Amino acid sequence: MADDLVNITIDGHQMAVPKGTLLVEAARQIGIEIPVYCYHPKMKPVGACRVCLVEVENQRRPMMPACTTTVMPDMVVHTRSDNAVEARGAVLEFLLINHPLDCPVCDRAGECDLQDFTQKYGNGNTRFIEQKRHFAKSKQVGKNVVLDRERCIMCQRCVRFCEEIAMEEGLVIVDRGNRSEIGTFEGRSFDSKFSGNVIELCPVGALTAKTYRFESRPWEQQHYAGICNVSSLGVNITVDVRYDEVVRLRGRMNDEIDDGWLSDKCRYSHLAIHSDDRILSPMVRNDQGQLTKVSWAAALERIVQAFPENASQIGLAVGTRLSVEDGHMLLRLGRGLLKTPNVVHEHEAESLGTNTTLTGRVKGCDAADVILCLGSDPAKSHHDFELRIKKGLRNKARLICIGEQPALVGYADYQVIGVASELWSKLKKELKKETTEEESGLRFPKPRPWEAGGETSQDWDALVKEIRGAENVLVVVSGDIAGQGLQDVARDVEDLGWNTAPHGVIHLRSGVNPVGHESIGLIPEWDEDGNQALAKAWEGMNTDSGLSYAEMCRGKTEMLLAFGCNPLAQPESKKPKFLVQAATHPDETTEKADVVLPLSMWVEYNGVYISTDGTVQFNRQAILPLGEAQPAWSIARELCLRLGASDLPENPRAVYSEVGSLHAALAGATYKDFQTPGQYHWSYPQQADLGMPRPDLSAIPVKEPDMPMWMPAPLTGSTVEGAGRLHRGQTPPPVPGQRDPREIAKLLGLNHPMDRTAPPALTAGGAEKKDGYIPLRVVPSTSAEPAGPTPAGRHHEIGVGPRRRVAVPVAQTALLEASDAADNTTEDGGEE
Amino acid sequence: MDRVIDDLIALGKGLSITFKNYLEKPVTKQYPEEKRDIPKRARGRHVLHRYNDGLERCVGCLLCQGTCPAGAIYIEAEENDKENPVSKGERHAKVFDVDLLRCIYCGHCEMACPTNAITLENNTALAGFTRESLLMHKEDLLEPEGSSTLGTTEYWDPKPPEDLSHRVPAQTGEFDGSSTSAAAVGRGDLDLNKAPKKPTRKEGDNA
Ligand code: SF4
Ligand code: SF4
Ligand code: SF4
Ligand code: FES
Repeated sequence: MADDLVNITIDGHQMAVPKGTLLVEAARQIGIEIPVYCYHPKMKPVGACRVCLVEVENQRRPMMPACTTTVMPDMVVHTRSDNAVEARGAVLEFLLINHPLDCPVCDRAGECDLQDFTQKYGNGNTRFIEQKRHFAKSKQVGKNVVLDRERCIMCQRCVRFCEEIAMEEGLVIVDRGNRSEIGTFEGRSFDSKFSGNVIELCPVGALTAKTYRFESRPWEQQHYAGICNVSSLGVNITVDVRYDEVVRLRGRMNDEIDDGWLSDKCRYSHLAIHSDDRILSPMVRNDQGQLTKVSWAAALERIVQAFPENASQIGLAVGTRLSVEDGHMLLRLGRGLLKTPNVVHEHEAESLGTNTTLTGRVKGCDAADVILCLGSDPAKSHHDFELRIKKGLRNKARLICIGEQPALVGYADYQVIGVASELWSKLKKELKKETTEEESGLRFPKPRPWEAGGETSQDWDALVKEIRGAENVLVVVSGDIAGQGLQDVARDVEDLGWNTAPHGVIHLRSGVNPVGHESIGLIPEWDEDGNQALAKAWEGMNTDSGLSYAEMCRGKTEMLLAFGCNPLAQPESKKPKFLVQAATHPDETTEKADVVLPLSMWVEYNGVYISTDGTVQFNRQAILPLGEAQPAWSIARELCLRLGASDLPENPRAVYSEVGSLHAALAGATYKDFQTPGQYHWSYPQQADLGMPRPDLSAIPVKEPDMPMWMPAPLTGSTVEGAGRLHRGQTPPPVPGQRDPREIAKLLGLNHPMDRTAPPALTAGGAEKKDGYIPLRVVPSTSAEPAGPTPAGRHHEIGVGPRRRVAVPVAQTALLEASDAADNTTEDGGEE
Repeated sequence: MDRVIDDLIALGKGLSITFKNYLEKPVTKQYPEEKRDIPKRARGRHVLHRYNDGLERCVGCLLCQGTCPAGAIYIEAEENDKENPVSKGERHAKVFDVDLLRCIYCGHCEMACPTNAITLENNTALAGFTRESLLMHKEDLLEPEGSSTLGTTEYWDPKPPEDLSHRVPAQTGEFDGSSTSAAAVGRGDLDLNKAPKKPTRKEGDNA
């Protein structure tokens, strides 16, 4: 047996684990659950709550907290002995003494560790009959965070997150002893970029999200594995859906990228999905210059007719929030069928070209000796990356910021402000110089800037020495690096010999999926040699170099189709003769566009996204497209069909297989890739499940657990949840081959409850709305009058006594109109 | 001969039952003119109850929705306006729909309710021309303002022993802040209104 393994016995299971492993972790490896509150695998253990007590044989004190005890040779641990069970029950009883137990109104109920552990390990009864401690209920501690002090169990996870992970001032413990409570410094608000994480971390319902308060219950949700659609880091998220509505986003553990954290920018990005200003139907600008709603068929017809004779006068601009599949179908439309060379994504100007290989990875921060931020501030554009840099700082990295802006003020060990490109060439020259000096004499312990008392140094020589002594250097550049004069940084780093993955250069791209779009060729220059397969498959495709995005925005083409981007917001932009925009929300371009198409947002369809460091990830559809919105690949497909193409892939899976067969950069890719862990991240245990055991008794030490493809129930309407319920607010998916019940209702002139309508208006009965009450819709039995024409003059009453209610009958006239309406629909209904 | 007598006796016995029933009053009820007595605990249409001070008992916790085996309940909860609360505590139901066509009248919802807000009452005459007419909204389910009943819960539970009463939901029209009722609505800094403003509860106003 290797020296660094120790033998221990937990509940009779013998196992060998590496030295220094905590007992909780060791137990989890063989699927034994030890309840924890304060322990969190990504934070330092503190041993505050004591719920993890286990019995260890031959110790002076037999009960040990499993979260702070490391394994010792030949330790014998019992987690289910009488002593352990009793101790755990006692701890829970203490925790519940001042706990309000108002689970019915608590947002955490259903996924609360206190509920779960009390059910499993608690005493099932309380001996406490005295008055509990009561506080005023909700207290808003930050813009998005609401605190209920009664429910707090003082595990200090939130406080430690602010201190340790976010490394900034945030939540603190106010008062001491049994009066301690969570709060902020007097008069300050807890408005961090990462504040939402404490909500997820809190094991109970003490910290809740403003946006999610009383919105939903965990037992009515479906959870889908998604990818953040805000930054190009590819942060993994869980999309929680209630009745086909996204109610919240949570972090999903991916050690390579997000480490389980999620910034507020992404956490609350779901609010845009159901916002009131979503564009939900196709619109065409009429002669008066107003956008009017039209059918999809009419809108697409209008576009097809507007295509100019000269194909090179057509431009296709692709937003980077779109998936690889979207990009591929738009490429097919543009280069393949319209035969225009102008198909680019909106951030192509930042591209370093396909020949440059960058070796930097997000996880490279962890083991880096020096993190060198060049040029613009990475923390400003990529919030989640800031937490990763801070993780590196805690490990061993020195942070060096060189550039125009003060980046990460207060965290940098060295900071030089100036023109980034000049400073970089100076630094590069000095680093290349041979030196006899002893390297890295600087690693003497002195307070770091982010620790109390440390200072950011401006000492150039010390900085150079520091870099020279470093083995692993991660160079962070972001945004438009050519504009910052840093376009050669990749080559320079190669010269310096730093490019060993995961270190080297990491280029934090703007947008979400620019790398994905580049790998399928949505850039002005067409790589003919690399795309032989494509040229063969799409006969006669255009392989010239086209216009750049900026040129298209300046109106260089007669017709511009903008998919998920906003070209008229660019400087010096000019509206082309004919402008088509597919958008989710109105913006500058929508105001002037001739045709506006409703575009689906990322949770509404399956798609593949490639993150800034090249991780290929799959985002699963969580809800049905809202209104008449369509994903870009499907719009592009429709247009292709109208241009006479046939044999087009019919769903994202097929599109992605085509991507795999035609593009060299993604050769062989299919959706099957996402079933195995590895470079392709798929389903990792959710943060909420961290306290739970992973049943894997076979492998010690534990291997990467094999996660099968996680397939939540499909949205077909065949599940119990999806079956056609008469619920207000629920949109059941249409069943293929059947008429949508909503449509039938409309034909019958009924206000179908499945439509999102306003609450029913009050009927007779003299009920007035009083403040705070929803009055009864009661018709007194004596004055019961049918509310509308009734078949054969009959009406029907439900109920007896004072609460009698008159049903609104089906008017026969409505039935007549229905048949007329049905005829009309069939006449102009056919879309294709 | 004996056999004939035996047969006649048997025939007489059989016919006596026929004649006895012939002379009895019919048991058939001429519904709807004539109504049958319904057991007090029969489960009919749902009613949402109020406290004596007029506030709704329902806190929108979604437990009934969660337990409903038929998926008949749809609720949307909302935060109470502090000045103008709809229910006790922080939370109330903004939307409360019961689909009587899906409901199987099992009564699980009233069992699950931590505040005794929903009960199935004796109203079993349920029919409608349209599906919509049998989709009950909160306005239809709530008992009228000014009335605050406990519904059939009164017939369900025997009075708990004195020493256990603090663990059993209070069977009163008051919010008394006891550990059980406070746990259901989240007492926090709520005022306990010890004296009811207007004792409006009427016996038998359940239907
Ligand atoms: S924190 Fe947990 S135990 Fe406490 S009231 Fe909320 S759900 Fe119940
Ligand atoms: S608010 Fe939540 S996370 Fe913070 S100390 Fe209390 S229980 Fe722990
Ligand atoms: S009685 Fe049963 S089926 Fe009907 S609403 Fe209540 S729980 Fe659901
Ligand atoms: S003391 Fe171990 S989890 Fe809190």
